[in-house]
Amino acid sequence: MLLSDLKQKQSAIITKINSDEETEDRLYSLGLVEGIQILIDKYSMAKQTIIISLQSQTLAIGLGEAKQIEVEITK
Amino acid sequence: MNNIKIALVGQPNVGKSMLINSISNSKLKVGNFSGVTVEKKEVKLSFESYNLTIVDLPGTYSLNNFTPDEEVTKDFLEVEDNYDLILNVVDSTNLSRNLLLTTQLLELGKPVVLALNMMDEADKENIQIDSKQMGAILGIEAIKVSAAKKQGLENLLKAIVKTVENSKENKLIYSEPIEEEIANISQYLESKQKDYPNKRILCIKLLQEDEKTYKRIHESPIYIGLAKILRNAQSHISTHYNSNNMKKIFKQERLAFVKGVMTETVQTKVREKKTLTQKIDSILINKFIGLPIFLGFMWILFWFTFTLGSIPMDYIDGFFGFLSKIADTYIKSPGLSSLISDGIIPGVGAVILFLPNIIILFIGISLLETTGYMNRIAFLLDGFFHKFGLHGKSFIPLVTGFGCSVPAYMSARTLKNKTQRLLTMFIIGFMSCGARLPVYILFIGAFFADSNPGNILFIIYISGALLGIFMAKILKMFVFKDKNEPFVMDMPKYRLPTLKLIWHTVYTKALMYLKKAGTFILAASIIIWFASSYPKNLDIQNEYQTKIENSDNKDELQNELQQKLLENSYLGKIGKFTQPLFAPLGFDWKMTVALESGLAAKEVVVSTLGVLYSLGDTNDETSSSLITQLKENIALPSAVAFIIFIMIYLPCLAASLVFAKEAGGFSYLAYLFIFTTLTAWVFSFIGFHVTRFLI
Repeated sequence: MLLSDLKQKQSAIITKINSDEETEDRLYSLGLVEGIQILIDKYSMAKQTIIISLQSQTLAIGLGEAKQIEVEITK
Repeated sequence: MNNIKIALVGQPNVGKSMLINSISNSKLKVGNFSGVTVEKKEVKLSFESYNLTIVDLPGTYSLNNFTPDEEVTKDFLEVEDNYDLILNVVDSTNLSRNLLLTTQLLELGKPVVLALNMMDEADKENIQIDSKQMGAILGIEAIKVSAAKKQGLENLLKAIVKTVENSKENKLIYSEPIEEEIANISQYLESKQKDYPNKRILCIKLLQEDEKTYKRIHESPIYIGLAKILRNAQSHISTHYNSNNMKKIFKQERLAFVKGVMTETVQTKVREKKTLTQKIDSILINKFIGLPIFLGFMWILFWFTFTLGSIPMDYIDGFFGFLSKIADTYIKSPGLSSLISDGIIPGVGAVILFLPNIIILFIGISLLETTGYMNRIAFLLDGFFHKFGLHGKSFIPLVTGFGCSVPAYMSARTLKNKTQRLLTMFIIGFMSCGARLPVYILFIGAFFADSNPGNILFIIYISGALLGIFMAKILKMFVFKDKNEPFVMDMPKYRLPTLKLIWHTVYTKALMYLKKAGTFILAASIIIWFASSYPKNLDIQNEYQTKIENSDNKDELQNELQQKLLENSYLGKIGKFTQPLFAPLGFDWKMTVALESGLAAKEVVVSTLGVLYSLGDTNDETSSSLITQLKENIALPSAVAFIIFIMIYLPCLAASLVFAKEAGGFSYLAYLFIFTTLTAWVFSFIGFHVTRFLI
């Protein structure tokens, strides 16, 4: 399952990241790595951007990037 | 006294600027590095027996080169390498992410002091941090501070001095296989009796396949033996990790190390209650009302900028007019008097005229940035702008462009990605600025008075904006082909900035505007003045002088004289010479000169047309006789082409110079000139022929 398939308020654990190195670096430095639990906060109007929270922070992520992240639903 | 040069490093939104503001006393000296587009700020202060120089580097999430800002930081830390200590500022409420950068900094091998900032907020959120223990684990000083509350600053400075006086190796420790290999390599280096400073760091860099380190070691004869040991070491590590990507392995190592530090030193009590930020966000980025609220804020900002800003504008305008008159009256030499009263004072005055607008706009923008709202705006708008290769944040400079391009170019700085910043800057000119309005009003009055003038004006503005976004798409497809910046963005907590911080940001920016634009404009206005008033044609002047004295129609002759003089000036000659270029658009030489003088400032177009169509210097856009003159002398297709050209071509000189500075060089200005002129020419040509076909 991809991060972009999750519904609002669903939480999941990141299982794999299929981005190119540059994007992966960016995701990594913001704490988006395999094994991390995330929660979908909100979608923007056209579902182009997604707000997620993880650990103690909130991030916004583009739909394109969300499609590169594989997740597993936890509840 | 001894000097300590400190590199201030931290992720964005950790309160670095606020910390630097709180540390430094009132005798703060701020100097900007010259020659860099993205700024580094330097602050000097003295503490105990030391002179401290703190270099405020752009915020960076990692040292992996992602944005131009981050490159500045990485270059300073790794390439320039001209500092004694890294002061790493972290957000105590978001430690796990912040400490990842810290591990990368520790790998540089320089002395590091950790400032655990926002301690007050961490306390409120029930995050307990054992800073002593953390310092012990990392092997560096870790000091709790709060820049906002001015707590712990003295301790921080003491820790800096202490670290410089007796620096020791930090304790970034990896998992066993890597530590084993570090020991192996280190032993080998020792056996060759090579005394490298920072041996441990050298070993780590070798394992990480760091290019710079390899190049350095490659020259040395020990490399032959070392290569074999390294190969073995890497294959040993690879078997433990099931991967031979060293970069990836070390990334995992850093994560694990941070996790270890976190479990031993940080305790968080989980809270179920919604945080204030979440509450605010549920309104400000709400699906339905988020965008209208944002547009409301923007409307208020621009309303303030252009109404409140215009109050002092009238006084400034009046003041410079007054100065001009005085100069004109009291300076005896006519050449010098003309230079000062027609060239320098109006030219420089025009720049200072915009200062109130710029200050208001910058207060607004720095509020947007420091509160954390800017990132929410980017979130709201990114979906739409993304389609045209722009970023959510492009919105601010583009809307600012409707007022004046100068602050618009400056506000494009908020875009971190250089490609998207340049793309945005290239289309700012398509948003018709306030100075183009007089030209539009004049031409609408002359040619479209029968149809609804308001609608025509609206069409001009809207079609300009749409054309701009369309051109962004074209540029994106053919010129700025780079990949988009991946949209992964931090949504920082909402924070109230201190007055001092806002004042400081706005003050520095305003000062820079005055300094840079002021000096350039001074030079440019002298050049324009010279081109339009030289070579002096005394024959014509004398001829008219006598005519005027003997005539009853003094005004008309005075105008005729002005026209003749301008026609024979360098500017007039250039106009006549370049007229063939614009002939396909139906422009005569007068329109050509008007366009070219408009390069200095768009308002000049109207006054030039006024002079050239022999109506004297006193015309403004409401002058009905100029309207009649234009109607009689210019055909409708040419007028349409002229409006289109004005809409698109290069912004005024002040804006162009700011563009060159912000874009990072005059070559970009050359590109902008070619791009806008070509686009203007092509669309004017189309406009000319379509209109001719229709009538």
